[in-house]
Amino acid sequence: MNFLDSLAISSSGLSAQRLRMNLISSNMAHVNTTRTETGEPYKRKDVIFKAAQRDGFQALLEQHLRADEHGVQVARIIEDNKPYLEKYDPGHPDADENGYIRLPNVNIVEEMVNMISASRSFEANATAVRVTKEMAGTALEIGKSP
Amino acid sequence: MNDLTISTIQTILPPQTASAAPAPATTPFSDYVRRSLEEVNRQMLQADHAIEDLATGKRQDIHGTMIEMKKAEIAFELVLEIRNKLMTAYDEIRRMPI
Amino acid sequence: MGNHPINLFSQTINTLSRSLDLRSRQHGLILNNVANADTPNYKPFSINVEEALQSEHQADGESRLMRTDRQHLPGQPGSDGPAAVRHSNGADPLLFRGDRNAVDIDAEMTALAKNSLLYKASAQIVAAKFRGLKNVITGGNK
Repeated sequence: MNFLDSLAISSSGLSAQRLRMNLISSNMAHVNTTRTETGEPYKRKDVIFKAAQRDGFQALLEQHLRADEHGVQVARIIEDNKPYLEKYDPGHPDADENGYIRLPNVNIVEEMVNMISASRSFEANATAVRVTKEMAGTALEIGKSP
Repeated sequence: MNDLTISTIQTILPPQTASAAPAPATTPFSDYVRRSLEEVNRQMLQADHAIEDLATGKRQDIHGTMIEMKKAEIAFELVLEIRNKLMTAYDEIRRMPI
Repeated sequence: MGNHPINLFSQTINTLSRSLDLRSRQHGLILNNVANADTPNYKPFSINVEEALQSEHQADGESRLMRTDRQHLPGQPGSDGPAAVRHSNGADPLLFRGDRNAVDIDAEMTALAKNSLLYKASAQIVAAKFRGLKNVITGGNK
């Protein structure tokens, strides 16, 4: 079996989900950050994945002939442009002239759900690595002499 | 009387062909052995090739390589055993009191 | 074994070998589906291994366009017949995910478990068959 390719595919999945978990953690940590270096409140971050492809001619060939089997890669990391939350808090240092502060567009519950999903996907890829190793082990036993 | 008997016997014997070939049954057999050895050789080269590809990473086919290896090993064992049996049979025949 | 007068290796071993090949490919496809479980617009792929093995078993493989080497390109997309890589059947993805991803992670993990089990079974049976052949030939002497 193509065990090296298989490990690479699962490895790409692990990396992708770990990055996603890091972004979610960042969102959760910054849920109350009203001011970043830019002076604006923290903007929620997210990652967009795409199916990984080999470069060049090989990629064109493979697209037409068979399924791409190179795992996943990050297409881009985006900032969520949903509007900030506004809260009336005139005592806050960052309050504007009307006493409102702008809070990050992060919904804690939504981030928790995403974290669970990312964690589950991560575990699935980890299980896949274990299964690949088991299969390779059994294949090697074919050649073993008693 | 004796001459007649001998000449009668001569005519009932099968006619001797000009090219007195040795017992024809052995020629196809030696062909068979030669073909088997060639086949075993081919199988072992194929197995070596597969092992090389696996070791260099050119192909990652573990089960395919293992199967090629085993096929070569078994083909070789078979020819080896046939050779052993032939040697044993030859020894037995050689030791037969004539 | 080509023109060899004795067919030393039975059809069973060839079928098992083919099963290992197909299940390896299926394994790669499942892993790719799992890795892309959160990729927008991704539709999962799979091979129907049972179907492919049965049809190959019946057809003797002579009428098919044979690929003599795995590195060769297939004749056309999908010309491998039942062994072709297809999109997994599933419910309309629009009903489930806003990003049009169609991967059902639970179905994929189940398929992973099943496929790997059958792969391991095939590998162990092949190993046992070779051991058996060896014993028959050497008469248990070695």
